[in-house]
Amino acid sequence: MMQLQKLTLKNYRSYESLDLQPDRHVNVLVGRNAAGKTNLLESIHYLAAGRSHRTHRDAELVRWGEQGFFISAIACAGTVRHTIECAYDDSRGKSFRLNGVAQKRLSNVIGTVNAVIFSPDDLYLIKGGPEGRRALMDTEIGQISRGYRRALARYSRVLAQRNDILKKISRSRSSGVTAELMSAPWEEQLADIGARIVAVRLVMLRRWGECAQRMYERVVDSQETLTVRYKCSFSALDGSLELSLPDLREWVREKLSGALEEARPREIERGYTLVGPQRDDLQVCVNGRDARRFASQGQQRSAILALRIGEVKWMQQETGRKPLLLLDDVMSELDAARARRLSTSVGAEGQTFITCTDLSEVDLGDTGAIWEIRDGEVTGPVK
Amino acid sequence: MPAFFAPSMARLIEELSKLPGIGPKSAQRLALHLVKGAEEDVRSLAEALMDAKTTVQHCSICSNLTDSDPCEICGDGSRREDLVCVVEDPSDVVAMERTRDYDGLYHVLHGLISPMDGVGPDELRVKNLLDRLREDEVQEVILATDPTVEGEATAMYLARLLRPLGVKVTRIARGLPEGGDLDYADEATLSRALRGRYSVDSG
Repeated sequence: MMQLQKLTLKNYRSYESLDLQPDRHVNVLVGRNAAGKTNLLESIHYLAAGRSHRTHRDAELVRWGEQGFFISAIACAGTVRHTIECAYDDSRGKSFRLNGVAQKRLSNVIGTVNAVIFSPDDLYLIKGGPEGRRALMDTEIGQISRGYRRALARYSRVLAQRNDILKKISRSRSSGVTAELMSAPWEEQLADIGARIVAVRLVMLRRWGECAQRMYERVVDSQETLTVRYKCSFSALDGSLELSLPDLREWVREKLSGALEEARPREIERGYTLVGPQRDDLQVCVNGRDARRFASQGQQRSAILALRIGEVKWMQQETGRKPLLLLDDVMSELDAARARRLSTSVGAEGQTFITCTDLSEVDLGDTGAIWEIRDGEVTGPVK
Repeated sequence: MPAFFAPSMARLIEELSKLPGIGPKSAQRLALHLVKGAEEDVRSLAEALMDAKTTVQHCSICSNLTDSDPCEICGDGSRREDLVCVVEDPSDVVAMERTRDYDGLYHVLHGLISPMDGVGPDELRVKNLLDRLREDEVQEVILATDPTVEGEATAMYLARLLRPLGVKVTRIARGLPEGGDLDYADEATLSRALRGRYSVDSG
């Protein structure tokens, strides 16, 4: 199990300075709106993902009037203790230290802390554009696989290079032969690395989908079904279900390679790459119908909750330890019965941080601590 | 910062800091070291710089840097002339030579294809490679560019370009380093090594 033993913040959002020694089970953060509850969860998630879940601009995380922020945590993964520190400075950017040693690559830091965050903004996962859903897959898989993070970085480099050359070709109206000769060298790499990415996503989705489905039945409604489908931009996925990861990768590589070849004339005309994992998407279905269009607001929220808990279970299967659960204002969206089922489903063994405006929303049981948050100050535990 | 130095020193520091890998601090240290040292040493350095710049040229055959044309390797006579190893820059030739396992010839591209940096085949020594393959009796071309995104793309580009010429084109192998530790290898390297496995024949 993943456990946060200590969290220190300096000049982070609303916090001038914070030292928190959380309870090892449940931590309830109670306070009025804009008291700084979400900021605290965000800072924990920042250490896990290397970025904020709310913004990609680190400068926004700096307390008003200051030049930088600092987050540090002592985290236990099983029996191993790690100290992880992040310092951000407006002029120098961000830097990470792991157990006192400066880390050049962000990819060496991500994954030391595993955390899953549930946020009211999560509705974008169903209602928003595909980039949010891709980012979700990539962040989650990225937390547990360095190979995947490297593949993503390499893929985006190849993609940028190829798009650059496609743009130049389309502007200069070069002959078809020249165009093919210039763009093809990048295609083999796109197909190769792209297939790795898609294959890992598909395998992740099989397990994640199962977990989410089970959670939906248990916590939300046992009469309805939740399914998650991978929407591939270049091929139908029939026939891929039974394949093992290496075979799947090869299968995807062939499809992607063929699709790139077929799309090339259109891509040259448009000046960018039209197929590949950067154009793929997820589709969430309730009772077999696209949740984006056919599900009610309530069903959408429940689906997201199930997806997030599914994520926790999936990550637990992959890493052998339960990630930190960061529940931002979820309870207010659920009725009492669902909230209770949620508490028993997720809070049982892992360390959890829950924010709420009203203590009556949360059933703490026997274990846990309540922290009061007011204007960037935390007092407690009050229980 | 150079404003605090005498103008001649400031100029020297400025010139030195243009060099790759030399920041303002290093440039300052080098400059102070140079003016502190003996005049002969500085003269010798200045002469070496000018001498290298005026003498060194690209070999008309392989494009490697050389004092005399053709370069020592191309003019050797005892090396295999049916084998050409294509590399990114002159330092790669040095690395290959250090193996003492290669006795063919080279071709130096002076860069890799990178559209974002404005480098295409026309900016590289590709055309004279083609001329060379048409004229000479080259049987095999070894593509030895880096296994980076750009190195791979350059190798694939050349492979396609050379295919019609009927010459055998090979790519250097990728995988685990000699004396390396399996459990220290990253996933991509290991997976590549696995795909590049070969059968071990007994006897």
